[in-house]
Amino acid sequence: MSNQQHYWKGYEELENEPGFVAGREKEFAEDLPMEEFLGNEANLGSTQTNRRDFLKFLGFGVTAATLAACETPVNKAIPYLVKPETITPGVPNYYASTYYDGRDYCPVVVKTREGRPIKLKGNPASVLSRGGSNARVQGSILGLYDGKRAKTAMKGGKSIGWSAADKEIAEALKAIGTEGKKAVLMTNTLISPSTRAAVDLFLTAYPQVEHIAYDAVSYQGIRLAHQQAFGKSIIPHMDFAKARSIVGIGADFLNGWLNSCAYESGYAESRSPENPHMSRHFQFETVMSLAGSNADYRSMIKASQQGAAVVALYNAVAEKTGNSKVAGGEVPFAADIARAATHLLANKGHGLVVCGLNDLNAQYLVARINQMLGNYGSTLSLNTSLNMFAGNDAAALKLTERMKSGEVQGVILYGVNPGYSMPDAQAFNQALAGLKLSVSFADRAEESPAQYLLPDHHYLESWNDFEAVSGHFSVQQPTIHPLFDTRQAQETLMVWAGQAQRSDKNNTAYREFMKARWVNVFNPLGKSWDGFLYEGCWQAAPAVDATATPVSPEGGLTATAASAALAVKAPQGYEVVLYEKVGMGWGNHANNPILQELPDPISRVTWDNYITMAPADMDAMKLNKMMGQEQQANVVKVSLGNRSLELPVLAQPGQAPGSIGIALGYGRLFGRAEQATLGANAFPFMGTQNGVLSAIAYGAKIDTTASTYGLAGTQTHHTMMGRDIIKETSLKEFKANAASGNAPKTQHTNVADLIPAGEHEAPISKVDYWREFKMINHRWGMSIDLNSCTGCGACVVSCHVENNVPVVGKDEVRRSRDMHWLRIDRYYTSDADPSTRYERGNKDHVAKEIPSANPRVAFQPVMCQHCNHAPCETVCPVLATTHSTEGLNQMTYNRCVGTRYCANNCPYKVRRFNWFSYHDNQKFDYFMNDDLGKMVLNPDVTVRARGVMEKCSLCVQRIQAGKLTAKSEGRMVADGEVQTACAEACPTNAIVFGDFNDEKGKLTGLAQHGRSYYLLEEVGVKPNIVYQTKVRNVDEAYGHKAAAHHGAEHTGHEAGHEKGHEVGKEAHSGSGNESHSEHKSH
Amino acid sequence: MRNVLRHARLLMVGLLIALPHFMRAEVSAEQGKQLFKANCARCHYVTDKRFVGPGLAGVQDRWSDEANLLAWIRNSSDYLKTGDSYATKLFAEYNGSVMPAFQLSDDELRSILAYIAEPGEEAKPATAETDASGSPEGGKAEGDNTLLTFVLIGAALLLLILARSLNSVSKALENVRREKAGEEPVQEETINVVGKAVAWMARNKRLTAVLALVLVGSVSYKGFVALNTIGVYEGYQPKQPIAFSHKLHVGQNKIECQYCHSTVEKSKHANIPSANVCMNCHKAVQEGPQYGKNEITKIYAAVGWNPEKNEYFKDYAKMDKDELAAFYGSYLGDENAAAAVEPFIQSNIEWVQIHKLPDHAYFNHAQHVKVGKVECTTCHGEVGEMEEVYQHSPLTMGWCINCHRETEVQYATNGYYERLHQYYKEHKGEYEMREGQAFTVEKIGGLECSKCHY
Repeated sequence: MSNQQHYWKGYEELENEPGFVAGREKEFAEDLPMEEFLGNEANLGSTQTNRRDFLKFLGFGVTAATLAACETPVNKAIPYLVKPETITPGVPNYYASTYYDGRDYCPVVVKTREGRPIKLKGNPASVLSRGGSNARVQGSILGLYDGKRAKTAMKGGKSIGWSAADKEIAEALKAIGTEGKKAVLMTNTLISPSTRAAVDLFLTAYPQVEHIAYDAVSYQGIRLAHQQAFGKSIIPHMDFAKARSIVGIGADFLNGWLNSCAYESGYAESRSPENPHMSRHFQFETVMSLAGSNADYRSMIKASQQGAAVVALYNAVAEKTGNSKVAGGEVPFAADIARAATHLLANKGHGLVVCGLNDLNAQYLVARINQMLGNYGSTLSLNTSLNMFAGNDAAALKLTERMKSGEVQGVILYGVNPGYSMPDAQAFNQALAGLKLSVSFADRAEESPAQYLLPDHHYLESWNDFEAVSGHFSVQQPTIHPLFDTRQAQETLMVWAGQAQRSDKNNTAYREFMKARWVNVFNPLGKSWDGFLYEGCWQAAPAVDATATPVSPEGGLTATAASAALAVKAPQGYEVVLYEKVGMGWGNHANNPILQELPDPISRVTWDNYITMAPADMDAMKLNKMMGQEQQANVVKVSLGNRSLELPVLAQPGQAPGSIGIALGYGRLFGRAEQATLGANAFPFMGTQNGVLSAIAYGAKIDTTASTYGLAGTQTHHTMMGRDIIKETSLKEFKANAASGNAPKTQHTNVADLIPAGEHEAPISKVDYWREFKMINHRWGMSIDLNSCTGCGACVVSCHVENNVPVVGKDEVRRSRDMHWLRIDRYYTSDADPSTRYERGNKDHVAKEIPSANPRVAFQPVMCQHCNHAPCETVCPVLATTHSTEGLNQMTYNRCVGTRYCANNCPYKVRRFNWFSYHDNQKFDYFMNDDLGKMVLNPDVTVRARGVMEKCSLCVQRIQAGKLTAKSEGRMVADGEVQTACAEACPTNAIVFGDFNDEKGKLTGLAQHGRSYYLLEEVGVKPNIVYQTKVRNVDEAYGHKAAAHHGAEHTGHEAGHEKGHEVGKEAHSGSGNESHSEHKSH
Repeated sequence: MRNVLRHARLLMVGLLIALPHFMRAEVSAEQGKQLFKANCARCHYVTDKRFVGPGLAGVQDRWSDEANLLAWIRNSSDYLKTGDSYATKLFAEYNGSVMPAFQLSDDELRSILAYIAEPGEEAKPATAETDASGSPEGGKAEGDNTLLTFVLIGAALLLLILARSLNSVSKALENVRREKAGEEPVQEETINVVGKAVAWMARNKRLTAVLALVLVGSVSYKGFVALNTIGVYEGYQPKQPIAFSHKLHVGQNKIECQYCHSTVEKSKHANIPSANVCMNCHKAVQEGPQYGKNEITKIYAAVGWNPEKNEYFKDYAKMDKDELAAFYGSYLGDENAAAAVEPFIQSNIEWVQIHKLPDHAYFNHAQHVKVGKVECTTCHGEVGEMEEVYQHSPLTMGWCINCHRETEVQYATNGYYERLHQYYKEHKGEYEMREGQAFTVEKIGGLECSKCHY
């Protein structure tokens, strides 16, 4: 690894695309069209407003406005008639609950105000997720207030009473039984013991009904493999925290693979460089995934090579552990496999190999590798297993056929939408439409055309219990009275089974059923019902871990057979990998504008799905690799057999050539706002392999089309203009010197007023324009550990919900007007090649380097840095942004007149301007724009109007609330008592909020750590946000020069000093050579 | 009108101040009366009128043995254990509400009983000067009218000048056109009022200038003052759905503010009490001194209390509205009062909010009342003297800031301020904390924007 690391956000930056270069110089992508408007004589001449009219309008307007202001508004204040004892208006209540939608499982704590849930956080009592959450869970709160939800029981699109529906359906079920036909209850994997019991009641009452569990994305291969290897059809529970060596083969375990929400915190813990055994992570994958982007060593392999990679790793491990090798496993990246195997072998019993292929053979070999390495019993457990993803693919896939043949006459869908997610959804829907009885418990009319729509409660209105991992229980309890006339599906099943009576929509029947079960089963184990509700999570005595012993079932699988099965050649053509985007997952949240607008961590694209393609492939097909407001993506047609779809293409570094990636969860057409129907559904490309669903399809054909499409990407927004604000080092160098890689740079000034007498220059970081602020009581600040940050985006969504940040819509994002207070910059980094890097005299279009096709990735959350010497404050003409004695850079919306000078002067580009009244936008019928969506707003935070600046406030409303609690109790604020929304949401504790004045506080300790540095320290703005260098566990050294050579590790600064350049654009670095001529001109 | 109101208020305040003095002069000799006021008056009248507890007129006749009566007064729950039939009956009659125990000597109790036996004149519930507060529409409207007049005059002047200048411009343009076309220019009409005035002004330039200056000056000043009152609702006194008298409850019955506004120390809101809080007393107190049953019945209609049987209606929400209207009508025995009660049946009590801050200003009652130990009356005025509450303070930002500049921080008893206070003690003379200056809210950042705006 050379020391010429270069960071780039995308091909626009890498290749200095002229539009990007022009755009990055401006804080606002578009100028107001003032000149254009006033300079257009013809247009001005034809305007209908003449001077007289103008004067009339003026006179009328002034008078009307004055008169309107005189009227005394009459506001009603309506108290409770009988106030519930637990509710104090103005004081939030918190309830423990659980999120589960078949895809994500996460115990949460729900914050309610005056009976409205307004915010979620991970439940810290959970030993699985340890207080973590992900973006989808954070955003799910908005789903409660979704106006597109079904409001009552429907039949054929018309409202039908619940009792009528109950009667009709029970009769239809009985009729199916008497005819000797079958009905099917199709659900997602039920991980709730009480729901399973309720389903059993229903199945007992109707023996003609059969239960099929179906997961849209299947992991059945792991269960089948463990059946073969250990005689147990399980998915083992994994503990990433114990791992010292992690190998992922096509498994994005940080987003999407199995119970990823719970893996993040353990993964981050294992990767702490302060940990005596910082884990090393090898990833072999096709699409650049969240896990892959966090890996120390990432190998870019085709999907068809993943099986061979598993075999190769098996052989490498078998050889050293005294087992016999199998045939096959010849791969071009053998050296990478050998490196991974060596590390695994060196950390026997502390390794973890995971594989994303949903294939019995591959998973069998992976299980054998883990077993040979002795990982079962430490990082993997055979006694504690994951109960999620227990779907039966074969049964689900066969259902269409059985419906067509007339064997199955009725289908009840609960928590699944096969009409959208099945590979052959069209056939399923046709068959479903022809049935005698079809019922859906979905919360809205969906793609599957069921006769009866009996909407289930939202999860925040429901009772339930869960056992996601054996022995780990969590509760789901309602936090609001059901908004609509919906009924919980479990109650419906119990009513049909004759085991419950309908009362009101509060589904007390199911609650009592669940409570009785709990009291009978769990009270004897030592957990009271009330205690369970209070804590939300409970872990039964942990099972003792047995060491894995291989079994050989009759006619069982062997490694040789598995390897042979994997050796089958993939057909010619493009390989299609279907993956899950952080915001959308399987598409359950398609109508959630916050999640739609969340930039994907890797591509930074909002609102759409697209085809990710290797840049080399795109060059060959002459497709546009650039993204930007003026840059349209080419649309291509992907066809596979009789299925095809058209999507725009995005250049994705790290994508294996010859393969493409398409995100699932898009292209949903039903029950969505118009704006949320973007993208195309990729589920039809799901294939089957050995009878189970596979997210990889081979042999696709790609044809270019003439059309283009504008993607709304944010990677070209708010760029740091080549200043390297991200710092990295290797573990070895870190161990030698904790401060390696983050040596502060220095710039000098020679302005006479600022430098000491007799000197001719002074470092900018040492001189002050401003009076020193005294922060006597508190100095709030934050620490962000770039090593722990996985880029998952939970903080962005959490901030969005907490601070009433508006959704601006795709069109506005394309105009660089996204409003996220907190952005996560994603940088690609590759070794620079000095020979092509610098070309003086050709400033506009310099090929800075030959990009590595498989760059490393680094994430960096950036929000307002709350500079003690904030440049924004000095330029505000109306003092709308000022400094507080607690270190906050305050933004006073009602004082702001919208000059935007502050944004122009912000070196971090973190200020956002409200171009429109986004909270009252007729174009969007959701979130802040309709009455229902407004209920999610945080009443403690102002909703900003058009024409004002806004930015991160460090959650000042929470700081004030925390201080008030402390004052009320007559004590100092305790460390960790106040949490910002981002810190609270972070599953890896990368973000720590605290008080620098608290000498024993966690933040103070972190800030003194060698890894700590401040962004653009050299410009002397003294931020209150401190960052920690990212440490990669790699053998190669970064070759940082010692800190003593100030500024020397980045060329060009010696020259810069002479001319005394100051704070501002001159602070180029890294690649800053080309800016010499600029320096001199100042 | 505002002045009139202010005078009326002054008069009322004066009366209220004078009244107790007048009374005290007469009865100060009687220890019993003071004890009664301090201990008993919260729940008992000295007449036979029922309050929270029974009316006490003739209480000694109802008790055969004075010793028993004294024991009962001193500690009623203990006395109940003796099984006295009259006491038990009384206890049941008042729904098992217990009279608190009193640490009073026999002599003191006897003096109270003596007072009850001969209460004197002021035993009657005070009903005087209830009308002094003036009409509910209050002073606000007057302020608006002044403003309106100024705005209209201003607008009229503006339009007049506009019309005049536009007219002359149009004439000038027309003349230019005619000149170009070689036509005759438009003749100026020389004889008109405006012309004369202009001619006069031309003759008396100095006087005109002075007059104009005075006119412009006074209009600007008045206009500025008027504009400053926009959105300031000091004195706002809307009519409330229930004629609830703070004067009676706070001023006379001395109920603590926080008995009803109970969240004021916990929450940003000082809540408007829910109806179940009203019912704590009004289960027993079914008639008020001013409006009799009329106003209290509105609460009953909202929560579903049957004052004839002294119990809540079962399944109130499902009962027939007309039947209920008839029931409360016959209970009140007054058509007008019944009509006023009808909208409350099975309904919420929609009070009119008086104090309202704009959405972008965050105010927290707990911070001010619990931590800052600010008295309610500092901002809300002497509510105990208000028959109907009005907005006492302007609630402008200047008013808030001013208080933050003047008010001292309650640091002595609060561990939170230790670090700050220590610092200021050690750094006397610095610009934040000069010698002899008070440790005010301003000194701890109380004037910073994001203390209230976020």
